[in-house]
Amino acid sequence: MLAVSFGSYPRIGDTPGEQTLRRALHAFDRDEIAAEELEAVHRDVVKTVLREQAEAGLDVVTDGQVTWNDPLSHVARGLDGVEINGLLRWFDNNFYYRQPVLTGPVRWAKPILLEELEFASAAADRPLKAVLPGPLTFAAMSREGAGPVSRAGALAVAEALNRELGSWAEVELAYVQVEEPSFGSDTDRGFLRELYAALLRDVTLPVIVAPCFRDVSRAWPALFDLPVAGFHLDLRSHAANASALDGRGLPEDAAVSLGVLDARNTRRESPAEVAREVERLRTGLASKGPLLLTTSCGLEFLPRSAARQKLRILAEIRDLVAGTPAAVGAR
Amino acid sequence: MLFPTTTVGSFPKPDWLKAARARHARGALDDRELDRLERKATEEWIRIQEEVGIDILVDGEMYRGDMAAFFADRLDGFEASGLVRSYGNRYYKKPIAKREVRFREPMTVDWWRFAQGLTDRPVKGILTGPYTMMDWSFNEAYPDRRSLTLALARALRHEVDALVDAGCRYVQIDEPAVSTRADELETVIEAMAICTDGLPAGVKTISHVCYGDFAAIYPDLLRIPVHQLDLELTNSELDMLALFARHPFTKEIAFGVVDVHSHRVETVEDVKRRVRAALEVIPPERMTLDPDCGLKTRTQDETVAKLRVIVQAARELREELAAQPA
Repeated sequence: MLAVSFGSYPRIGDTPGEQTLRRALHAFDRDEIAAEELEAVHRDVVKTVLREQAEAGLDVVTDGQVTWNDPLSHVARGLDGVEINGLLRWFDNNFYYRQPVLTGPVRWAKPILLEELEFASAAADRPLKAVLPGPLTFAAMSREGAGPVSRAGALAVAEALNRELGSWAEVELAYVQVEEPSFGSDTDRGFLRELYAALLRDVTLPVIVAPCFRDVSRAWPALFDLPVAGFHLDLRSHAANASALDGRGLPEDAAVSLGVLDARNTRRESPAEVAREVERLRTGLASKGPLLLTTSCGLEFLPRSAARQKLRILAEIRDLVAGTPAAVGAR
Repeated sequence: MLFPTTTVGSFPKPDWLKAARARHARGALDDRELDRLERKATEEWIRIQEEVGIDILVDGEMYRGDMAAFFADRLDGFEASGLVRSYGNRYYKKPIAKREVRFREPMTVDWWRFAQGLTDRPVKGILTGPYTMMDWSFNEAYPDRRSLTLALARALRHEVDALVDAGCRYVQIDEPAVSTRADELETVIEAMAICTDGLPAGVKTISHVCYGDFAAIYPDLLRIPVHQLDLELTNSELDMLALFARHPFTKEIAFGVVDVHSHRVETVEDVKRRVRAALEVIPPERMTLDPDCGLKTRTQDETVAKLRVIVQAARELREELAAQPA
């Protein structure tokens, strides 16, 4: 059992020393500092975020997605044939993303996240998880011209993201989390399989597919069709989601990522209570693969002090739950 | 009178007031001086609205910052959190409901009285609604979203009563978060009923809602217990009119006829075209004209220009309808 960081982490905190990136971005927007200086600040903050995760006692960390403006546009703007448009609400959060618009043939031209991942991998003292937006969500939250993204457009996105994953072959990664908050009972199962066949063609990285925010209590088993190493379940946004674990068909060796702490509320959960819940859920699990304890979604919806507290609670829960540690990154 | 005109609530703060608020936040300006400047800015906006010819006025919210935090700061039970990102490099302090939420004392009534004292035209009283307050806060005090929403509704009902007692006849309770979760619409309706049930005849209740997937909550949206829904129709390219064609819009509507996110000032003809399209599905006697949303992100010049276009379009539409044989 591992305590694993989900993905995003607050880029700034409330002390002046924790706001260097906010100030640097303002200065960069006013042409007062060069791109290299901004990048240096980004890297400093990544190191801080890695250190805070390590100090909290996590087993697998992320770069906190410190350079990302939102869950889509950071990757979308690196692709050919995609422009970035105005702000829209990101699911049921009071948080807004810039909408990608497919304007021509979507093509992967060069690595988008590779340098950032190499930096984080070198700076981290423990296994690293990478994050990528999933093709289903990318397509659902984008436009193609003035209308919704076509199936062909979505497949082109999946193929482009496949090339991006291919570029990470040399980076040491414990997991790659493909985020699919759009996934739910209205998802076309056949098309999802098609998208993931394109996304994961010749990819050997251990991929966790991660829906969040929505009620997936019935839909979750549809993910078992996909050629991935594991599945995330957000246990906090909808109480019914826990019942997804009762269903059959979970592949025997699958990693199960359980979002046991609410990453969208500052309320401090009781480690003992959650540990008992994890014990109970674990005994019913069909999979003998790794159990990954994490938050319901990324932590950027919280103030940094609350995010730090959630990570410490996560590590505490792991310590409370008896069990033998699983091998990191095992498929 | 057909096509009365109004606005949603906020106007841009003049630069001198923004500077004063920043100085106040640093402790370099005292409460009294800030209050004096906020009153001065409010009076200017009342004069502008009168001069432009708006029928139902607002105080412009010169004294409010974030629309949820303003009320959270003044209710018992809330504390300010650390900074949370809203997008890009923008952050805000999201309130935390820490304890039982309770009404302490009127929060907007003195401002409403001040604004109404400056004009003979009616001034709306405007509150952030209980569901939106809940959705835009952290909840450490209540077991679920519904119970926090209902506690907020009970607290805000005191504010509604205080406004009505002061003489306010247009009470607007904004729920911009209404379309966030379609499965929680019943909670929105239940909470709004707490805020509006049994108000005296002659008090018009309004709710402004904006953004989001209205197809998922229409026509149930019409069950929100207010007389008038104030809708952002222009930014969504009038998509909602297609919904109203399938299921009639049975309430009064404050129809957003100019885009608040665009610097471009619409023409009178643009606005009239939008209204004519709406008249296909909503009768004119149920229609008020206003901008899509609050105007605080526009410049003063853009704001005034957009308001003039709405007022002129309303005049021309009235004449056109009067000229038509009955």
